[in-house]
Amino acid sequence: MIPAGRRSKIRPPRKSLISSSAAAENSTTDAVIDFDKNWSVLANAISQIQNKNVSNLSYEQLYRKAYVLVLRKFGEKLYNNVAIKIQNHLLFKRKKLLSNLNSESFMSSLLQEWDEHLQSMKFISDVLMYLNRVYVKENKKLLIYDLGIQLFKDYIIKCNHDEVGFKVVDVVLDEITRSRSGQVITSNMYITKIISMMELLIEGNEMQLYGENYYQTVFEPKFLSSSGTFFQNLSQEYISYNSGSKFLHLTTQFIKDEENRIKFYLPSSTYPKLIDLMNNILIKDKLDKMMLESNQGLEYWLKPITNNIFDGNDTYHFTDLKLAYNLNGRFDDEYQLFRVRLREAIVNAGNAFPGIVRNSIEASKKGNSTAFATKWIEIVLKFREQMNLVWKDSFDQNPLLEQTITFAMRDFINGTKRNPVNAPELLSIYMDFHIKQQGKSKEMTSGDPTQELIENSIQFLRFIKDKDAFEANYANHFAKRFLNSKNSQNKDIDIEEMILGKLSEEMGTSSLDKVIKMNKDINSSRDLTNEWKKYLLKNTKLNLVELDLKICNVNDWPKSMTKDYKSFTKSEEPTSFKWPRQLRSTMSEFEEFWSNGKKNDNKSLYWSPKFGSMDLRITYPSRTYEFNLSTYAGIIMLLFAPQSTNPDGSLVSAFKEQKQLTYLEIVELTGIPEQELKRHLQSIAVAPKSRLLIKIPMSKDVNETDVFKLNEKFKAPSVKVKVLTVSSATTKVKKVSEQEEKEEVDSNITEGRKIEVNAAIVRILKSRQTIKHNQLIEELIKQLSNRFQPSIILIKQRIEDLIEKEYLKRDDEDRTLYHYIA
Amino acid sequence: MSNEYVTLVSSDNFKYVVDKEVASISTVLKNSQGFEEGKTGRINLDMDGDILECIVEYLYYHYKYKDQAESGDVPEFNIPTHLALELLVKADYLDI
Repeated sequence: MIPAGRRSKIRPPRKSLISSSAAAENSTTDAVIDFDKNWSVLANAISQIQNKNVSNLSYEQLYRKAYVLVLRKFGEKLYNNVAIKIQNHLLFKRKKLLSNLNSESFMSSLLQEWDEHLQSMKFISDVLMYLNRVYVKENKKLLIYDLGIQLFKDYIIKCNHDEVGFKVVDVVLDEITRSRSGQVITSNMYITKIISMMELLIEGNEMQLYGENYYQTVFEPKFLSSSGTFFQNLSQEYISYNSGSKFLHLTTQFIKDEENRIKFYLPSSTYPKLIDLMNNILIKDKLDKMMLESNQGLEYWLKPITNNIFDGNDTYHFTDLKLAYNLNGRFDDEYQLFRVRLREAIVNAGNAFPGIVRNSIEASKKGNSTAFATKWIEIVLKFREQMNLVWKDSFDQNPLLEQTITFAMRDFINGTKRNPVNAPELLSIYMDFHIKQQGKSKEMTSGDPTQELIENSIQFLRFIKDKDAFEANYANHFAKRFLNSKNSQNKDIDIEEMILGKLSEEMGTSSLDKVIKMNKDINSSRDLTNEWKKYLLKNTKLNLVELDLKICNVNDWPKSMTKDYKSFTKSEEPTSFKWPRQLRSTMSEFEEFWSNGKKNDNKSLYWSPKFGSMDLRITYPSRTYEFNLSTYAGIIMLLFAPQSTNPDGSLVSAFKEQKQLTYLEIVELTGIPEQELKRHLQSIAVAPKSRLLIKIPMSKDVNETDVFKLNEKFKAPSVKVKVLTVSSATTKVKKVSEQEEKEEVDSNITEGRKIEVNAAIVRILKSRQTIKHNQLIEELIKQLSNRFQPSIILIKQRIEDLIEKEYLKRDDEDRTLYHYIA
Repeated sequence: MSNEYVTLVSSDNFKYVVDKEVASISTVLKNSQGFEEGKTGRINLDMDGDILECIVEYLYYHYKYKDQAESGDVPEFNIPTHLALELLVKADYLDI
């Protein structure tokens, strides 16, 4: 409030400001005339501005003119007049513009007009600021500056059905196409400017603006469609070379260039659209075809991997694989297409391995399953190693790709119906072979080869689906290794122990139960041998044969080996097996020692000559040799040992005795089963390196009428001679025994699976009490998948079995529901 | 810009030399710089000297305290009562 004492009068504003021009006329002014006069000044000023004569205009005066007109409520009229004024100017400019025939000068003139127009609009809008502030605001019209842009759009660009607009779009598209085709273009700056101009030309009317600009409504669709056509043609060209590698390189290069181009010219909103378009046309539709291209396709890129397994000199196609991988990644971050094709290619490559192995084995004429197994597994491991290189180099170490490689390898390793490979058995054979090899090597090697073997084996084992089958095979081989080994050297045992330890780590001890039990027997056998030796020393019983003991619990060892364990006991039947007199005292001595052992109550001891070996020292006329031969062969040789003594008590030389035995005599004296006897006679009388006996007549096969005698002329390069047992005399016998073994392994697997499925079903039901059939199957497959792939038939049988055994029952109403019976 | 000045001239020919930056508080004065007034450095205004003086005072007042407007720590600007109405019109004209 104003203090009462200081009253002061408020001066009214001077009228002169509003009426000054009118006052100058000194007349009773008509509002219309007033407007016309003021407008003509302003219109003139606008022309001046458009002709770039700004600096000669007095802003204050012009501004005041517009101010006055607005105050006099001439806002609308002024606004419309300005619009028409600008419009006419633009129409005039447009004509001039279209007279440019050269596209580059057309572009540059258009840009010049645009720049000048914006500049003049800036000044015009400054002059008309009061109009903006009052009239435009109240009536919600476009600001003068925006109006100017609208007018430019309507009367330059879109006038006469977008004549100028389409023309400039075409020019720009042409330039971009030229650039894509590899030509150098000079209009780069124009293009970016024109594009930013188009972005400012927003669709709308004089009241408001809609969101879309000219770039979005006209340029972008045209650009995308012309790009689409261009890409189509381009990719057709790339494909027409019929070369996967060429396609990859050309496409990758083009995409790289195009990306740079687009980043340079176009707003970022177009970028993803164009990239999508490009990915779809250039890659997505074509990549699959190009990977399957027979000329330099995926197969070709992977070929060196297979080749290098054998030769090691082929150059890898890392780049091609990387490009293909990256191209796929451009439109699918899961790389589905690439992974599917890669898996196929790997499986195909892998399926070819068995054939390759068979051929190379046949070429070297060492055709047996061991050679096949070792070679095949070596190839697979090398392949894996090299795929790993590719993975590191070309696939960014992407875990998805690693998984694909692993799955693909698992596919071919476990075999298909078309391409059956018994991987579990082969791995067991491979390990068997290498364990034996390492056992044989004379010098005490460092742990390396063993470590390597273990690592390789474990790595391979991880690919195997039916781990239980591997265990069964391994148990079988393990047993054979032990029972047939010459003696239980510590070194062999170390290797076995190490491998067993690693396998248990990998698969769990429960699944290797059998092997672990056998291993226990082995350990206790070794202890027993030591105890026996000590016992002999203590009791000074030195005239006995040295024993190296292998004592097995029949139940824990493969039945195919142990089934006839009782048939070698001393019995009085004429055909039964007869232990040589040289061994009998030792045997009975040991039996006594053994049955006195504390741990051995309730156990019976059986001797089994089928296994083990014998060391014999035989003095031939040339020199004395130390032979290591199978127990049977040793027993046969003992028949030829001298029996009569010289008058002085010393033994008569066997060669003086000139003992001759017929086949039938040997049968009677030893009681060795016929097939075995023939086989071992071949080993010591036919095999050229170990002809300890002479067979009369000399022939390959052993007949009942053959006569045998010592070979006086026997010679060998070294003192120690290992007599190798020839494989079964007739392939038929061999096949039968192998078949038997295989059947046993198979039946072990089948039985094991039954038990495992049963256990799993009970486990699941125990925790769930009730479960639907399908759910149960799903759960079972999940639980058992790291052991083997249970078949649905097997699962159904097991369910029936458990229902019979009353572990579970079906629901009375819902037959697909099972209840657990506690 | 800080060392440049414009001369504001009243209708009764009083002259006020004002820092350009200060004058630019008024959009009108600022816009005029693109035109002839920018070349001559002289802006003729249709208002009396006492009014223009008051406006210039206000422009400096506004310039000085513009950063403190938020905190409210701004002394009152005294407007001679008798000029109040006319100042209002001029301020609208100059877009202050």
